[in-house]
Amino acid sequence: MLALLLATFACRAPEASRSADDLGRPVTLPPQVQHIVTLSPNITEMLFALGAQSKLIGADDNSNFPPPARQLPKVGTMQPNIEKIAALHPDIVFASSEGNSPNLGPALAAVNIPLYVVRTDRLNEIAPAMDRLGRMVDAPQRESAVHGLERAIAAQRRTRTHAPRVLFVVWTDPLYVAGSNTFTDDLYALTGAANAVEADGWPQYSLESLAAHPPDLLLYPRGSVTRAQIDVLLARAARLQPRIVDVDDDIFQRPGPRVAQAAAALNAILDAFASR
Amino acid sequence: MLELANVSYAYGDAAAVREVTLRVDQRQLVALAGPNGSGKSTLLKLVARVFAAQSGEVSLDGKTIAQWPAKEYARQVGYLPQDPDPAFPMRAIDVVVSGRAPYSTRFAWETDEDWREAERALALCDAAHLADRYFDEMSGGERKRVFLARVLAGTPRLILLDEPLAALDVSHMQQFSALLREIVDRTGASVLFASHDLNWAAAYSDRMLIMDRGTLALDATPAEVMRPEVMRTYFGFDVEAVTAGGRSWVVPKI
Amino acid sequence: MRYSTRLPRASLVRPLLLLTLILAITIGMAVSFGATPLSWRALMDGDETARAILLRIRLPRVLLASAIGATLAVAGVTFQTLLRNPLADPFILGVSGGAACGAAISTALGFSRIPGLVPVVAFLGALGATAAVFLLARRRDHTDPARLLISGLVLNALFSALILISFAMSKQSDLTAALRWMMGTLFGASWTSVALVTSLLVVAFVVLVFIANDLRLLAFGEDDARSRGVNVERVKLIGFVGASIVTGAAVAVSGIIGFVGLLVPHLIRMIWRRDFRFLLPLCALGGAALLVGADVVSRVIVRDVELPVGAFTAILGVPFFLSLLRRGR
Repeated sequence: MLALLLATFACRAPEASRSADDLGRPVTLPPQVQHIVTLSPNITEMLFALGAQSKLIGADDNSNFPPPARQLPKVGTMQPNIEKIAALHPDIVFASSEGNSPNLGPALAAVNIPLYVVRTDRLNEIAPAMDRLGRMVDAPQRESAVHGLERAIAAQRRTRTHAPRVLFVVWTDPLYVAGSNTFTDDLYALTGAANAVEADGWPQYSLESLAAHPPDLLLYPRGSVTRAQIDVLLARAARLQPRIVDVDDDIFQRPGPRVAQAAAALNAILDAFASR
Repeated sequence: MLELANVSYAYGDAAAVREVTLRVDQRQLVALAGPNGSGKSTLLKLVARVFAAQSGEVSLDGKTIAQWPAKEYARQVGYLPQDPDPAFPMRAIDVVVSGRAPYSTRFAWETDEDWREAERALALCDAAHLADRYFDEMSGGERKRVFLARVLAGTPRLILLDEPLAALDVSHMQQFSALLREIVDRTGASVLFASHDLNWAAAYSDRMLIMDRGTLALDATPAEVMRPEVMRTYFGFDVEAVTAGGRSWVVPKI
Repeated sequence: MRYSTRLPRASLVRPLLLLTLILAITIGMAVSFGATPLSWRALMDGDETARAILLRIRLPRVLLASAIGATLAVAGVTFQTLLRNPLADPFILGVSGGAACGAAISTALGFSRIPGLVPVVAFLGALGATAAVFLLARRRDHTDPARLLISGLVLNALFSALILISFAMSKQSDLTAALRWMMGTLFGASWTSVALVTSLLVVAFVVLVFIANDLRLLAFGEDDARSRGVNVERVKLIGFVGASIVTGAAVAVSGIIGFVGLLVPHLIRMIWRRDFRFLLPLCALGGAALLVGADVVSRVIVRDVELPVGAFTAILGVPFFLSLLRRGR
């Protein structure tokens, strides 16, 4: 009886729309998004950029930018705390396509919270993803934010007569690097650099291949890898003397609104390399 | 040859062998009988150098076990545990030749003599045909014979057998018991074997040692042991004594 | 004279030659194939990159694979004999758990950014685990194999719990470092690591040769071995500690590479059903060949990319094992 009443009530309310998220998972979007929990720092950054931060009521532990994001209630990381999320009563939870666990959707569905997974694996997916997010949450600065990002990215496009071969080291032992068909590879294409790695994705890379295809530039995220580790790696790979530059982890590894900054930083590194 | 003087051993607080004193001379076939848990196995292990007596002395040829070099002692005394098992698949001949270990040095492989002794021992146990068979493919009786051959390959003067007749069918029990007699007669070695089958123990021994709760209760000839009052006292059951083939047998009353 | 054909020394020669040949072929293949093709001509002409790839990357890696493969198989056959249990492996007494636990905890604390520190902690973890298992299994004056197994199992369970907690508390980038020890890899082989593992392996092998005869007798049971003049407690201590130290060193360098320690002794025993004195050298050669073979496959199957070598020890070893099992005499 109660269920029936509720059902009638639900029918009268603004309609909840059935849809699919970026991974093709069916999602029932709430008619109005007022309360959001994000599980990925790049999406947190996007929501701030869209001016929708007032709707954010919780975020994952890694969401540290912009600084106000640190004040949000934290719900965990890869395996977030479902009870904490439920207690926050969000209308929707956003996660990004990388690093969310497959059982997250069903776990949230059990407490009637829809999960929308946003795909941001590649550079050209970032602005459209931000646009979709903006529409879903009815963000006030959606158009200006999205166009601003598109313009900022476009402004970093360079063509170079000699494209330096760049290696982005994710971890040194074993060696994990940014390969082709990645967001980092897209940044190289944008800024006129070449990827020293031919393998696809984020492979465990062969030392022999590294020695055979020596990079001109080696980038590493300074928050997760140290220079000492890079030196050990290069000593192993033998006879490699690339220019070594450390970069900010968050800017270079988050496919969010700060990608333009990553591209600008990369351009500065490449310019410095060219004029050495 | 073998002398035990006031030998005792306990597992923690549980005394297994108490103050046992006995003497075994050459060319004797001695049965060690007694109910389960009476200390037969422990007594054999004390003589086999598996355990050291906690008090008292075990000595061979007038020298205490501690005075014998371990390997030297192992050449004199051969021991067959209750459930011997090579743990991994092996040929019978390899099992048997490992009985020659006390004769070789740390790094030496088996010599021709070792292989000869192993084959001889196998033949003695009526198991020459088993030489190249794998141990894990043999019947219980075949395994027992292979392991007895392993003990014999070491040409010990004192042979200790823990329940050698268990897992044997009647014809093999007969064969095996006759073999023990033959070894004693032929080599002059002495055999001390534990058995809970009184009739067989009596039939194939010169002398019976009856263990009772860790003590040596009776040291007598089979004829003296195989009597209803002895059975009742030490084994706690009523029997009828039957005479057949010039020997006494006991049959439990039902 | 039938017995003269039974001289084990003589019958060991053929299996030894056969396995040495297999190992030589495998090493030859492993040196010839890699992520980048090397031509002998380029090497002869003094191509520096080719020389560097061969001498500083590929050759140490192949030699490390053979040393670690041999170590794991030797440790495996030793543990199996000591515990009289064909299912024992080099990791059964918590050696791997201890090493992985040391690696995971030190990684969660951020030590992985200091090169060379995590392997040391992993090694200490392996030794600590072995000592703990041994003390737990000690009973009055002797060490009970059944208690050793149970203690190892229980400690391994505790270690996996601690590892999971460390993982959950690790940063994303550190997880890669921690997983390295769980998955096992021969990445980053250097002449130093080759020298370290090989010298420990040689010492352990010599020690095991010293107690090989005792271990052979121990396979028949502890009471039996004691009655034959074997100092069982001493042999067990030397065997367990020796095998654990080399396993610990191997795990500290390469992480946990499964199947070699279990599979190789089994394969060798299925083909040549002999005692420990035979199995020891044959397992060393067989283990080396299997891991070198698995490593070369894991390196070349996907261009420029390395796949987990532990998966290929199983992929190469299991079909061989199953065919022997089916044919089983």
